[in-house]
Amino acid sequence: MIDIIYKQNFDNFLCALAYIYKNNSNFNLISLDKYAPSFITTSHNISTDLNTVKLFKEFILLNFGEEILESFYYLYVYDLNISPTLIPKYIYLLSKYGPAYYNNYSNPTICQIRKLIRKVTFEVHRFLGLIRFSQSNNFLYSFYEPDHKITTLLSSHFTDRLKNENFIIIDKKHKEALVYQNRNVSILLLDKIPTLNSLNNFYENLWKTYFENIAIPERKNLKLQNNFIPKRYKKHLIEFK
Amino acid sequence: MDLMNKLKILAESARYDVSCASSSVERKNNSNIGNSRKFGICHSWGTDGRCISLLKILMTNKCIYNCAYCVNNTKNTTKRVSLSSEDIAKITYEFYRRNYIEGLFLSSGIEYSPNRTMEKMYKAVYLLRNKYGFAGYIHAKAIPNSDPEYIIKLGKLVDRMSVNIELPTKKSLALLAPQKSFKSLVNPMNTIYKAKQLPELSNTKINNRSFIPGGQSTQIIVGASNDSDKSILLCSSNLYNKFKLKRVYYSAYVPVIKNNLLPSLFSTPPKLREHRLYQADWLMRFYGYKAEELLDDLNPNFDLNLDPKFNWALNNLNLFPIDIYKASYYELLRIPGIGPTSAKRIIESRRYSNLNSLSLKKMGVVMKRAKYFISIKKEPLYKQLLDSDYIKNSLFIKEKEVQLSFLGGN
Repeated sequence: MIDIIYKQNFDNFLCALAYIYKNNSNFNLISLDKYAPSFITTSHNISTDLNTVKLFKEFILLNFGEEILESFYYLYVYDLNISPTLIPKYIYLLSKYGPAYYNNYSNPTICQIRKLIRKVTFEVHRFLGLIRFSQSNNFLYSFYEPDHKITTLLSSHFTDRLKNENFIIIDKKHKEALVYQNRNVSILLLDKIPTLNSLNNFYENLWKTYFENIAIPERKNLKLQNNFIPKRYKKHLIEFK
Repeated sequence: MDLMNKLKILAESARYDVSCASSSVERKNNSNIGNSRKFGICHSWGTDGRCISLLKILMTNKCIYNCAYCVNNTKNTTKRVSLSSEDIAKITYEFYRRNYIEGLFLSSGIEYSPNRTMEKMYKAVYLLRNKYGFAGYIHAKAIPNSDPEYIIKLGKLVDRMSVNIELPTKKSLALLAPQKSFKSLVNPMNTIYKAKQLPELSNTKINNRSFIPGGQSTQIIVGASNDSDKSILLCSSNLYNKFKLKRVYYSAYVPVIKNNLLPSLFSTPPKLREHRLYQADWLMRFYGYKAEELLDDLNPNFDLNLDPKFNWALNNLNLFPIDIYKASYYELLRIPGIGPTSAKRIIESRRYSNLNSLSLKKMGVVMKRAKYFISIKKEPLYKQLLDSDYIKNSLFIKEKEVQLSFLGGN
């Protein structure tokens, strides 16, 4: 058994996958920050080679299609503990049976992989609605703490929607920020989370008033509400503050 | 009165309208702010557990009609307020850029006349679209008894329009909403349906935006009149077929006003009945069922303890078991416990591998219900003779708890 260790960026992750694909044997795939050395396995650090990244991407697109490449990205941003053998098993199944096997839900590995991917895409979908902007001097800002590293996946939606605004979305958990300024997008890695203050509270209070009065009191059902908004998300929603 | 109080009153008046969809229109930002996503986005959930996706407000709660079920009827003594077009547009814009909402749902009480009300709504929407450059989702009510030209004018700017039919039969309509005739509600629907087919309105090459791209919807109140589930379902099925409605919403009647024609003020809203109607509605729209299959003259109302599909299966046991290797998509959908997602997965997976009850469970099939109705390669999963009473009893005992917790306060 060999531990394949990748660093926290997508290019490096792809290099690791390429390595696994090429050397068809038993691997564990672990990210550097979650790695604990063990006596029974040997480890192999993956270094980033941009040429490998390019070739592997092209290879996957040509032979397996966009959906599979996207699935790799979702698995990369999943960023929580998963069984180290799961992704190598997934790669093995794809290489053996081809891309159509991705639809075989009766295979436990595929089933598990698709469950993880669904968790990521569902969280992205949720945050399209649950991001809350506040007004600062001349830009909008938002803090949030997603389970997965999804900030990049929010970018195309918000940059289109608010194309004439300047805004920043800060992921406090993964210390990432999506910055959109003068129609330019960038993703920043933060060392420290900045503190920002809201200037115009009038519309925040108006929203709270609206929120409290739009619910029908005779149908009050807090359990149903909690089903839709997990407690951990409420911290950054102004209507629950 | 300040904006805060006005918004409070107008939100209170608007909250009995249940529609909140922001889906079925995909549009990039072609103006200053906003876009629309086909899948729809919920932004929050109120304390009643209903999603908040649009800023749902009335322009005014002044109304010349006295529909018995309505909180804004002329005889009710609530405070009457109005919002100006500028207020509506500004609030929508400011909420939208903070990502509180997905768009605007503008409705109104009828002040002076239906046409004048439509004209005022048009003004507010026009301001929002043009002054603020809003390209997000807008849902507007079409006011009953207004002229077609007003509906078409407003329809050119909005994504969805709806006329609430509220009551499924002419008889109950005459009793509870005497100023609205069945015709006055159906005519606007017909106007919208016809206009949507005109190329000069719906073709995006001629017009830069198509006419009501999100289609139309309506709402039926459940439990205000004596109408049976059957007449409600037949009414929605007719509307789906005739006017190609996108959605019919069902709203459990919440007693707001004392009236001898209506359930007492102390009655609770029939939420479970509403839930069963929604299930039946889904069966009609996504599962290929017809209203007549689900209910008949002998049983005009749903059994509240069983979901409509399971009920149907128990009444048609001779069609089961269905073989999951042979069945088509729509045949699979007839099996209780299998929905569109798991049916698609079964069709994909059965090409590769041997399915068994464990792998079916993994795919999302609810085996608790499905096990009685499935056979795999001609081998039925449930070996005994199918007996509807037995299945009903064994299921009901296990399911009781789940059903109650889903509706919380019941």
